[in-house]
Amino acid sequence: MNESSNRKLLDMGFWLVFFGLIYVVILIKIATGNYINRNVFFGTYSILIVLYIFSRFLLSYLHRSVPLANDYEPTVAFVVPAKNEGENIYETLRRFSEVDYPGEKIEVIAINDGSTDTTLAEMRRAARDIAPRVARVEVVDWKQNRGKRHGMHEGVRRSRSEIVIFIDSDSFIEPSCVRHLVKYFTIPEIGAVSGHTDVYNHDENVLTRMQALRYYIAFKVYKAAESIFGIVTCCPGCCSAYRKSYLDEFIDEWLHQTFLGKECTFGDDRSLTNYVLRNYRAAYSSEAKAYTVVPNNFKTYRKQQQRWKKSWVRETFIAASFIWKKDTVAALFFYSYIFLAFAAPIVFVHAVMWEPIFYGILPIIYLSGLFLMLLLHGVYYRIYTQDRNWFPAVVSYWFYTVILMWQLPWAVVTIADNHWGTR
Amino acid sequence: MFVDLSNKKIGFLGIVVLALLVVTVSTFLIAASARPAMHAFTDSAQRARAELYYLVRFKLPEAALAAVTGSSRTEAQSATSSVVSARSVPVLLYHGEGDSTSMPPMRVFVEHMRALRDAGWHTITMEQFKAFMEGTGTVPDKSFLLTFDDGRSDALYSADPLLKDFGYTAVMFVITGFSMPGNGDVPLNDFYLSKSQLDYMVKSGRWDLESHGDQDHLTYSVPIATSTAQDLTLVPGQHFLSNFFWLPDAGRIETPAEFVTRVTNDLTAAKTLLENNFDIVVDGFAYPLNDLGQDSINAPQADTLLSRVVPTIYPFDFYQTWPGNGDFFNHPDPDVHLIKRIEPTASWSSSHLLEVLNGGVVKSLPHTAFTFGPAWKSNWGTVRPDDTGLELSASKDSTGASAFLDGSGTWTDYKMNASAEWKYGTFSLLARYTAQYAPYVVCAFSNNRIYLERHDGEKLETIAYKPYAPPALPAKADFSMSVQGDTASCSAYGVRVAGSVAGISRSGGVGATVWTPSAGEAQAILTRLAVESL
Repeated sequence: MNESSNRKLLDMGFWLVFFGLIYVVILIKIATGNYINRNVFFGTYSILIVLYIFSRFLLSYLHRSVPLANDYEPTVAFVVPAKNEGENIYETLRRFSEVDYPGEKIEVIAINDGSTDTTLAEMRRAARDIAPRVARVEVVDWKQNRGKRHGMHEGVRRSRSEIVIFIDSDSFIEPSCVRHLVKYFTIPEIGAVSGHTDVYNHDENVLTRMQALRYYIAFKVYKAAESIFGIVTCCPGCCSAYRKSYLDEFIDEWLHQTFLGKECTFGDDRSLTNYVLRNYRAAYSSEAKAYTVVPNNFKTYRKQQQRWKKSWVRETFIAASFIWKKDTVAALFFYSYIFLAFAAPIVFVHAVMWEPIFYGILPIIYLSGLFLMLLLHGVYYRIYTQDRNWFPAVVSYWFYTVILMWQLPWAVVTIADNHWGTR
Repeated sequence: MFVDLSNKKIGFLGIVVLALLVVTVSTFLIAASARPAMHAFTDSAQRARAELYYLVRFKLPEAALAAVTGSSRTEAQSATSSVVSARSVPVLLYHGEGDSTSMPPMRVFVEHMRALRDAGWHTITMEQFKAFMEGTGTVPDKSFLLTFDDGRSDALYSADPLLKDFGYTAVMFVITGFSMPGNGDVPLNDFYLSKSQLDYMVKSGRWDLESHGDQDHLTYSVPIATSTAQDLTLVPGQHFLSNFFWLPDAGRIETPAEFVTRVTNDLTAAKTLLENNFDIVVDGFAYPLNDLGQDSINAPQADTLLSRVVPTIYPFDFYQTWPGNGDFFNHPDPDVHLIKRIEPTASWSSSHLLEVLNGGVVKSLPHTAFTFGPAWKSNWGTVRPDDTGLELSASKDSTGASAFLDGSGTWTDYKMNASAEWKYGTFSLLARYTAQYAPYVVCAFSNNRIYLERHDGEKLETIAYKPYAPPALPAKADFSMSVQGDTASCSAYGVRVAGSVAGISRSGGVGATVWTPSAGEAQAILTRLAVESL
């Protein structure tokens, strides 16, 4: 037997495990089905969480990609706001000159947002090196830090292209990325397209490995499922494209977006997508590949997640007010997810503290159920990425799920606090 | 918008869904066919788990404590066990594993049983109880009947290891319609004991199975009394045993005869199912939901009908009462079929349980009290028995207070002499008291008259009264009362009032009450009570 047939056999085995897990979960749900009669709240959660996760895999499987449109080549602008990214920024910018796209249609706008390191110098060096191969390079230098939202806004304002592609200063794109982003804009309704971002430093430690799993599933399964309806709720800043003419309609209003009386200073990408979704649609392009560097220590990771959770709460609250008008099915999923997210800590306390203390019932079903669900994600990840270190990622995912679950209630409590955790 | 419903994708999904369906359904089919074997296995696994839990959680800590303190239970037990026969027997009711608010959890149940065992109490079997009640057999002093209602499987697992350890026995009142619906092997759900578990219980020799009805623990929609086919009003959530049902085919309410037939069929079905399946004799029936016909919305005669029907099927029918509502112990009497039970709740400490049981033990005449113990049970207002007297005082929102001496319910003809620190209100002595809602005799001493009264629930009838001149209050006062046959008399300060009390039970206990028309004022302390037989 050669290597490729070996691999096929292994994949078959993992697919069997994947469907076997679904089977086991269904069995558990039926066997513990009388639980729903005892408590409507916990019963509903128990059924809904499984249906929701299964629906993600099902919908992502049914996601249809748009074919490449070689006769459609709009002008594109890469907008990269950066602060203190001296180490990565050169590589980020350099890759723009290597993309598979006509150079005369590429514009690069790098905004140095008050860096105190070599970022500006690196930007200028990169600008010099790529200038011959693109239509226009502009380096904007701000001595004072103004924030990422201002940087993104400045980029849009200065851009002369039809499509604006935001790339994080620590993200790198594949040459084919642009065409796979752009192809979705052949549909007039589309205002934003999220690329597929994987973790660049996934081999660094178990934390980054776990994030690699989370990123992969978040894009390949969850965003794809949302994309079916053209309602991707977050086109992230690491690699997403927006139609400039639509952005122009609200970019100034977005810059000064307020929530609970305060100007919003984080969660800029989810917020921008929300503005797009009000009148247009957003898709996910799994072929538009990019890589991003993720936090390699728990403290930074926790702060980043806390910031994301806060913007999730804010923007979900906003999206909830209009999403029902766009698509009934998608809205049902959306509202179900809100219920699940807020119910999760309650269910956790009930299963892991309340029941053991007051009734002596150990949370075996709960914790093993949670693990089985994450294992399902892990096996899927293993099949598609061939990452041999998938299992520790699942175990740490399990561990972190329990810890990070508490960030949502905490985010609600501290929603008015605008501090930018990692900077 | 970006959905791919090509034949290939839908076909693949179809195959996956079909495969999952087939595999899941066949899993349950295989599990169902293997159910008897699985049940035998899970039953014994559950028993082993329950025994282990009892051993680790209760038995070993107790043994360890005994080893440390050097105390030996068997000595205490043999010291208290006696050859004296019991004159009356209490019946305790539990259900199964409860929470800390109402039904006792296992921990409390174990504490209760330990306290009883350490105080010399012990269980008797249903057969012994039957012989005792019928007067054909005796049981030792401090015997009690331990019963469980509803046929719950958690009762088996939380109580059986203890029964084994203590050498106790218990009665399980089984709802046959839940445990073996249609005489099947599988209970309604795992909450109820299955046939195989019931079989194990019988064979263990530790359990007697008795009846809790077949379908009469459920609730039903029943018509209001004035219902007709044209104007039918059904009230949901009503009891099987206390209501006439609607007959949809006939378009009318069932007749008393049809009610009797329905009840007879259900009670007979439960008895037959138990007797035939387990080769036992079923003598007892516990009223589901403690409804003896009183909770009726359309059949005021249901209680009378039941009291006629039930004894023709079961020699003994069990209902619930509570301490304070007259004697709750059961006295031997071949004519008595109605058996009293009390249900200890989770909030009862084991010392409270002991007080309740010790208080209920039959008291002999003459009975003289200068100190007042927990046998004095409150059924109204604030009652504080202590070493100096029995304090009766109206609470903030009651117009008086009342107490009954537990264990005095068998007294028949007697004279009471009472001394009291009479502070405020009408002071009364009670005689021939059997239960709160049964007639009894009262001597009421007001500030100017002595009344001989008959009380029956809310109804009060003055039999006779005379004026008299008691001292100004507060004062130390002496009263007396006597009941003999159908006559009763009250006397104080040289005045005597007498009259006929025909129609009141020939035996019944004593009590005391204090009362004023307005709340929060009445108060008296009973300092001495002497009762002698006439």
